Amino acid sequence: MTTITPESLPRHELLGLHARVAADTDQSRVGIAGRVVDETMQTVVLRTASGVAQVPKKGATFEFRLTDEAAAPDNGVGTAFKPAGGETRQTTGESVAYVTVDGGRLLSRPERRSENGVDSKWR
Amino acid sequence: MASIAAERIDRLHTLARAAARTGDDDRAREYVRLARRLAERNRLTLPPAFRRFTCDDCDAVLVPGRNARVRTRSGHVVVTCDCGTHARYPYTG
Repeated sequence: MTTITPESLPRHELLGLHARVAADTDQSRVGIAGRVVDETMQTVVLRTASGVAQVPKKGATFEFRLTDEAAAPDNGVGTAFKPAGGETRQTTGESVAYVTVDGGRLLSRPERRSENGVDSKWR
Repeated sequence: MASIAAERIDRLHTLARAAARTGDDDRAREYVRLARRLAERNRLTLPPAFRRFTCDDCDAVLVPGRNARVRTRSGHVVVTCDCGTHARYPYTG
């Protein structure tokens, strides 16, 4: 039901999505990948395999992975009930899309991002 | 067609419950606060399940038996958060 399209992504919820730093003015940050666990006005916090990394939005280019149920937790309670060898959501190839976004477009408080580019009704 | 803000609240609700389930209470709180802020700015009503199972005072995701006590009194249910805040909900019958 919940749908994030590549067009709406900069205004949509980033928390819970999988992201990778595709390019950055600081080379040491390129390649950081993980689940977005927190967001501030100027940074995105990724939970990587080796810990938590806080990446400034400015100067970075992020590659977000969109799946049909990106909001579902990777280690949700349902995991234990999946039959052995059954399908996981990662194997359904056509439902996965990668969206590349310039970090500069995300520079906004998390709760204000949804309102960017929308004319206010109260004027 | 739900607005982006409504979809974000929906996702945050799922994320907050998932974080609370894995014991990441402070993360869950932040998700609840962000969802509340979105509802406030976009003049949306939060889902009933969200309103009932989050603490008004400390924004915790309430899990009965773990960080919330649920007791029935005459005519109302009392949900007590670990922080001490009570919430009362009437019932009939």
